[in-house]
Amino acid sequence: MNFNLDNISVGDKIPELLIEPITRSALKAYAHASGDFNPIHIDSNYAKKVGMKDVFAHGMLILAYLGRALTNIIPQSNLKNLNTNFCSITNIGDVLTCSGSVSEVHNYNSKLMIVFDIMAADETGDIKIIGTATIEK
Amino acid sequence: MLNRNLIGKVYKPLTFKITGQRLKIFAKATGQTDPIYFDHEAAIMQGHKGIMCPPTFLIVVGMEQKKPFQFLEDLEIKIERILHAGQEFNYEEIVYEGDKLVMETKIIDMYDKKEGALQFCVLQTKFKNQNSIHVATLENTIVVR
Repeated sequence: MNFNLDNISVGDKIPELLIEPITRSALKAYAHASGDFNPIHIDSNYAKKVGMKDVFAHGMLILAYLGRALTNIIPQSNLKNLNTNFCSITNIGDVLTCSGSVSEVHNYNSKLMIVFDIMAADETGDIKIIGTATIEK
Repeated sequence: MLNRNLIGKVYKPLTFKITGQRLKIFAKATGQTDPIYFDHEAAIMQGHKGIMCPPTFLIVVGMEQKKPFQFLEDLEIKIERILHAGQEFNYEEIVYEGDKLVMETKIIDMYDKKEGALQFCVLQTKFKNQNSIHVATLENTIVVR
């Protein structure tokens, strides 16, 4: 499905992307896929030793999900900027939803620029990542 | 206090070839459902030159260095004290399987908040492809807790 970028208004929402509950095996898989073997994401004993409750997700895994929510509806070639802050950690079992809505539409150098406010939050509403995505059309 | 004399430090460039295999593994680990990110034929059918690198994949390239966390050693910070605070991507060109990228990372800023209780370090990484075309710039902010 493609979002109609020619007929877009502030407030328009992108379809929400619901993510399966975060599992240890998902974190191991992401460690292998990304090369980020920081043990805090894959070794419970280590995580506890350094003062965490347990392992927690790589921020970049959650951001990859948020990227999917965008590229599911917008061709990646239109994506010009992604700017995000990691607000809180994602624990095993968290159920995340990625969402976004148009916050700005303006012309720049005769191109249409569309800014989306984007976020990933868990089932309690705790925000994991918040930021913006800028699309050029 | 982080050693602010390291602002401006540039790390040795790294060359990395993007393989379809690596992209397939990444797509699987991130739950990707769009075949242009894991199926060569589907990507070609849709007019691409091969499997496409998804928006956050370039982070992977940085992890291919012999010591991806060398900057932490330079800052004399243990890895368990850091968290990823922010990440920005600026995209110029799409990257595909088969592309050979050269990345160069530089420490561009350090600052603190809450009267020094939280210290931040910003790394900027620029990527060029095999034709020396600038494809993306990443800015990675880490916080030392």
